[in-house]
Amino acid sequence: MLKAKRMQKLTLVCSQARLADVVRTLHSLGAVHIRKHKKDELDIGEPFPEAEQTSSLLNRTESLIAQLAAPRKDYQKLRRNLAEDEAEVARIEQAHQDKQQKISLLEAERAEIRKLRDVLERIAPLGLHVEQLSGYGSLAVFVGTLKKELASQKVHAITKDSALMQKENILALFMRKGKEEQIAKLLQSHGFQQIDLSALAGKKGSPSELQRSAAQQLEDVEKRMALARKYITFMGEKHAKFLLSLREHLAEALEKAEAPLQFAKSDFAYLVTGFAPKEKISLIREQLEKATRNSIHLMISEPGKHDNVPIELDNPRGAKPFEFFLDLYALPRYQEIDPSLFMALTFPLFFGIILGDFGYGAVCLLLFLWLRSRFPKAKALMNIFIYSSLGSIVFGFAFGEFFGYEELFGYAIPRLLSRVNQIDLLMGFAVAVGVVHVNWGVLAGFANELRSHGFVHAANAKLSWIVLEAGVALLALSLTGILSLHWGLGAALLALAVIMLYKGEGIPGLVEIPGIFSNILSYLRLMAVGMASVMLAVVVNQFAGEFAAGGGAMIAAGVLVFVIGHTINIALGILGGGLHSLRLEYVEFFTKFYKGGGERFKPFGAKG
Amino acid sequence: MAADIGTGLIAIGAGLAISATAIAAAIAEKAIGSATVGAMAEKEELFGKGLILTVIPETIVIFGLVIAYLIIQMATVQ
Repeated sequence: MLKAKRMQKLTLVCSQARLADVVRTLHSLGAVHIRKHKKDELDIGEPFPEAEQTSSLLNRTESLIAQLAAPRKDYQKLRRNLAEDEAEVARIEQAHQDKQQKISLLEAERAEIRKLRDVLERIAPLGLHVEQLSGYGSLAVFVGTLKKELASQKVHAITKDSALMQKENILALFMRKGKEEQIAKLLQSHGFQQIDLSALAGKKGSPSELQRSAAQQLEDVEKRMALARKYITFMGEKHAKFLLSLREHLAEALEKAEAPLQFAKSDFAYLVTGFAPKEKISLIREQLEKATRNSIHLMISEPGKHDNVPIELDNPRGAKPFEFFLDLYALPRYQEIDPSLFMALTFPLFFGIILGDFGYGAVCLLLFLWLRSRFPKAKALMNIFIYSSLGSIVFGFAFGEFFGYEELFGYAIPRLLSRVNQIDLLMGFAVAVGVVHVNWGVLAGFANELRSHGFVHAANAKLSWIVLEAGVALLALSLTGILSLHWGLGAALLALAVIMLYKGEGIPGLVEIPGIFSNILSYLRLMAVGMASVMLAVVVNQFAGEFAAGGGAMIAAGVLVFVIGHTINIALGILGGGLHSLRLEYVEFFTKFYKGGGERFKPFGAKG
Repeated sequence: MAADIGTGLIAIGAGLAISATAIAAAIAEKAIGSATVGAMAEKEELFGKGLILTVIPETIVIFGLVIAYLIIQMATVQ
């Protein structure tokens, strides 16, 4: 709570012969975050020899899974033998390849048949058998399409030994060989385009007969292709279990095989550095010593000031969801305060003040409960909003608001404060919340500085802000005559604060002096954004009321306006309330103490 | 509230306080927001920092609203 989990530093030295045992044990423990070694006088370790084979097999498996579109299945226990796995993968690959090849052959065949079908379709109007169109010794044949009709006299003018057929825009011209060039020129001037008859080679009979048989063949080829495709899907289903399990197993094996890349290596020994949670250290030591029969040297120490200790957040259950906001921002450093719990206390409060309406709160609560069951992945965020909805309900009662109404059935709802009528009071309340929250942040900053730089610096850099606020407040109160004090007291405090700040944070600290007041005044948004939402609700209600007063069908219209208006207002309220509350946390609160920049604790061998 | 010229001027003043600050904040946020989205496309972890930087100018509007409210109060005092 308030601090990341306590870690200890492990330094482990082992011989090359023991390395495999060490890696296996560390992996199965899944509790040590290994610090990657950077090359210095010690070299980087080498991966185990099986790494290359494992990695290539993993690639092959992954590509098979992608190609077979293997569905998700339960995982199975594997024979832990790389060679056997490889043979099995090769067998599946071969089968898949064969089928693929068959499919591409069938595709080629299909293309051919389609071409034949097209040619037949085009020459069909001529009414000639296909064998009549080619295979002559002394005749030249032109078959093709024409753009404009060709007068037979023009052909006869070139050669008398010719026969011309024109049907629709298809032309067939038979002529004695010899004057093809002139004929070709003539045809060209009529927009002639030759039809490629090569697909008809060796075919006999009428086009319509051939068309029928081509259609038959096409159907047959497509059936065979579908069958082959179905077989591939079937293979995917059949081998999914094996392939997916293999992928998982190989990924794990590869992680182990490549682990030495993160270690330091001398001629004979390996050096492993890492961090582990304090409570797991004894288990880690015991397991490592057992696995290596006491032939390693393991040193446990407290992390030093300059160690970049990995962070595992450690919060009570209620504050856990708010770690999500740290993921969005930055993880705390090891020595820093973890503000998840602070946010758990204040975020729903801010949200509640902004969207303080127990009708809206109840709607939000139901909405987010439903969303949480619908989207388990966004559970943390939904839990945050469930807390926030409770905040809305609580403040809804405090403000006595129900869907913007301040009275129900003619009775005023009992309330502590009316947001519609007591704006001054609400402003004061918002600023008071600001003073508390900002100083809370300053005190947290004081605690952080105390731990890292000692009391004097912490007091100068952080407590000075509180002195500053007190000075300004005193000065203002005595100058306005509310307090009968000499104004010099406030001024003295102010001067003290300025000196402390200069010592603690230097010139930048002085520059930021006006900042703290604008930070505090920024909490006025709790009033402002909330009031905007109330006013919108009131307007919707008035609108709906006007409609409903019309009676009859207008009542339905009134209900519609009411529902749509409030839906929009709730959506705006959640967005505005959420973002403004988050902003107050991030900008006004965090900047007083939070630096962040910690690295997440990722133990070697842990899943996920 | 009598609808004399003074009241009208006060209303205009309040309106100016809100609208000018809102426009100012919008201009500032526009520049920061587009830069942030660009940065996030490169590095998604920047969301938190980007959000903070984007919403910083927004405080101006809140101040504008408060000033507008104070101006309107002036009207009721008179």
